[in-house]
Amino acid sequence: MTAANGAKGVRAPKGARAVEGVRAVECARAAGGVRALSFRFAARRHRLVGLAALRLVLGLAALEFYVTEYGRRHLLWGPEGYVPLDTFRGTVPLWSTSVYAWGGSPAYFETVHHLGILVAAAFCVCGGRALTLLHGVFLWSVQLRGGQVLDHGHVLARLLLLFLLFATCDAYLSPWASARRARLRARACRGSWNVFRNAVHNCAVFLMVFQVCAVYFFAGLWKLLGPRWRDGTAFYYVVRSLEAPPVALMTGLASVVWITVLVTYATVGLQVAFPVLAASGHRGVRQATALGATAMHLGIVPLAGLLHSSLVMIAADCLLLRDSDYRAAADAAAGVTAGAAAGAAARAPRRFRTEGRWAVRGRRRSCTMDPCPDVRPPAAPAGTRHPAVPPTRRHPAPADSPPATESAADGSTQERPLPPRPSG
Amino acid sequence: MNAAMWRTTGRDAEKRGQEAPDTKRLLLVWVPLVAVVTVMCSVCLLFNAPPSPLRSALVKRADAVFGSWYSQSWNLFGPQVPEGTWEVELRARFAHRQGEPDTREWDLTEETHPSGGARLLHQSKEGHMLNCFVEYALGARPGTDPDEDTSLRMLRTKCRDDFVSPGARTPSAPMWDRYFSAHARELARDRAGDTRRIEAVRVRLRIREVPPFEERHTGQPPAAEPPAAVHDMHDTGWHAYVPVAAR
Repeated sequence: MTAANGAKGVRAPKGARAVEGVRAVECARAAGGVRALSFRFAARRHRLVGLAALRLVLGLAALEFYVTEYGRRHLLWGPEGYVPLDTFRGTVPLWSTSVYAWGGSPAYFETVHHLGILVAAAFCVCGGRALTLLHGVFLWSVQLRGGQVLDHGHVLARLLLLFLLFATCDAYLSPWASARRARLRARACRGSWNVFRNAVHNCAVFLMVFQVCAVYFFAGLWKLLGPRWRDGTAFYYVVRSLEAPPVALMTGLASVVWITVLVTYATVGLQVAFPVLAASGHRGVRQATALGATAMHLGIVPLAGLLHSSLVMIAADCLLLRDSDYRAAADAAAGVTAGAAAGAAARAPRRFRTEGRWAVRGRRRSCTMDPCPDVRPPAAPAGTRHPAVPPTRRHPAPADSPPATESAADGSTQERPLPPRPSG
Repeated sequence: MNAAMWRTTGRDAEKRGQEAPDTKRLLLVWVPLVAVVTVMCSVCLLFNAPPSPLRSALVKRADAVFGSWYSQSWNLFGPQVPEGTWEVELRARFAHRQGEPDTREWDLTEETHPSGGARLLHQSKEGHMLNCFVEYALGARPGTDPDEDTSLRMLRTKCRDDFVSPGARTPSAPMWDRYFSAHARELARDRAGDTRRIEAVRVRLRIREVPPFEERHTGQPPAAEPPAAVHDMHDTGWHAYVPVAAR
């Protein structure tokens, strides 16, 4: 080993060599960390279930935007509506980017508007990049044409659609989802071009999650500056200041001191802590955060009448959970179902009970969402534990014991019982 | 399949004595992606940052490219919450009958917002447009500071900021005449069965204060609450009726 000053042939003192050795280990760990991160971003596409849910809810929000005012579309967006087309062209910047401004006849307006509805419905059901692009163009056009009838969700919806162009959103909850997943699985490990595409997908997902976290965090931060939010009475004023409180019960609830204070502080706490909670390593924390945010926006629907905005935010919340979180939730739901089935089967003969349990476990394990399930990330440097490799065993297994999971011929995995825990 | 994937990361290739991954190729993949992600995150933080001279200078440059995507403020219901209920009264003046003016009036706030369970499934765009007018009217009051935060961000973000910004108020005025004319025509004909010709429309904006939280919890039942104070905020005066062809 050469000295730290770089002079060849001069041996460094023992202490310097030790420091250099420590640095080398740290560098190796850092390089391993960077490589592991790189692998994590390039090996496979993340949050496919969340993206599919986001696409579905975002499509529903767009349909709500179009359909709820279908009868008044001429007034709101038509060439002779509240904002005549000439006025629109003369006053609104970027008017030429709106499809609605390219023609002034009523027939053209009807065609464009109905095409927008059809594309929104197709995007909601099917997904895919082409439909995402088309839907984005029509949504931008209608939002630009009727800039007075927007709500808080329109900018976020636009941003999410922009990033969604670079992500895979049709791997689940789509008519051809299984074929899409099969294609992903087939080319998951083929060449650097696919690595690049995976990286682009995951970067788009990261940007979406970052944007959602920024929305929550800044909304919470601004609230902290308000005196009504600090003294815990904001919920009361928000409910009472609405034009027509929709539910009389809500007004009554807002008048109860502890409910008002609890809801006010919980709202601020959730929003400010959202980025930290979303990045939590604990699945339960992430699930609780997503549930809390979704519940908050479901509450806003009857409270403030912001259905479209709430749907967009709920769509964004779907992206908070990882695929494994959805899998765990599905497993839990299947467990509940299996428990109910076991209760019913308890009255059946014994041989049917065992068969029933194994059938359920086999079905649960075969429901893998990993497009490349047999690929494992590279080993971490010595002395570090790779974060992407979950421990599959709680205790060392005997050398001759079968593996805990075993790949089947069709790519699915089946669970084998773990060996008994060694005594002592 | 495994070997191919590992080759892309290089670790297995090193183990097997094969060629390590090309660093240049990895850089070509990651450098542009990391640059794009960094720019987008920076712009997001910039547009959401608290007001400062640096932010103003940077936003002016970034607004041309990113303004359409990031210009919305996210201080929803904050820092101040609205402490009053807006009431928009629409009045229509019909053609003279035997020399006597005849007018009708409606509470447009109630007319444009769905009530009860309909609110769960129907989000009124007309109501959003009325909220946009409220913001427009508040900003259009004489002597109003154009940068005044009216604590109604929830309203402002229901329409594009440029519709209520000082520079866009004059071009936007005819739009509101058409909006109120269309509603007056519809309310007169559909609700009151009055098909006479409308000459002019007038809108008044008022705010009804919410009882303070401390007074609300004095132990008195709600019926014993004192009547809420009402303030006139804006009056458009009589504007000529403008027929809307789309109607």
